[in-house]
Amino acid sequence: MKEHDQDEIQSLLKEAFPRMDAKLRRDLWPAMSRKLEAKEPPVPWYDWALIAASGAILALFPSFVLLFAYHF
Amino acid sequence: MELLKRFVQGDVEAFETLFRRFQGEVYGWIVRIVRDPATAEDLTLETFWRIYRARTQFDPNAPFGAWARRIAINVALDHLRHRRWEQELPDQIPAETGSSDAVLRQEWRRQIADAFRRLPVKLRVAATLSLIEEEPYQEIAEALGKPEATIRVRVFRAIRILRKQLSRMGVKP
Repeated sequence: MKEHDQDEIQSLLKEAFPRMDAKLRRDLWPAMSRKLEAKEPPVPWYDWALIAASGAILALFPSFVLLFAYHF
Repeated sequence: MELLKRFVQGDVEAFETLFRRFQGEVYGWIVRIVRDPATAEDLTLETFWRIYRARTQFDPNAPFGAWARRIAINVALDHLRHRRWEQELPDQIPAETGSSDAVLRQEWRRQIADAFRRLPVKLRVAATLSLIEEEPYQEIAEALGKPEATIRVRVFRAIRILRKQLSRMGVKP
């Protein structure tokens, strides 16, 4: 391939696709922060179920508090 | 070093510091590949989201910028593989009025743009960064994680394909 051909193709390409302005014009952190918050994994249902069951057991059998205290 | 260790441990403030320090560089690479500022902003966010999720795989002794750039380029390549450029092209080529030479050259530009968007993504990205953005081969090679010789071959192949396609269309640059 002749160098002239390559230069001509490059010249046509540069005319067809002007160089991009690669400078970022705004801070993207606020958007990133929102994305992070939105994608925080929710507390799974079985965790809520476990908390509810623990509360119910403690309400029905207050003496079990010692058993819970031992495990925590 | 301390900052990178905190980031790996999931410290959001450390991540914010890194984000603010590298967002411009990451955006710069992406926008030169996808050639659309709004898309590049979205992909910059996607890049940092992947970085945040993969933080435990990062070695705090390694350069963060190079790692971020590699992920950014992969995100941009994924985007190109799933989207065509057709929508963006018509506005990018300015209409030519005047002499017949100018009109002919405009037709060549249109033909080459058409041929360029049909190139395989790997060749198109190497050609974009080298021929349009005029990045040095070494820098492109580092960004794409390939040997410099591979990038030279990709650019050469892109030019050869473009030349053949233009010849087939009756355009002889």
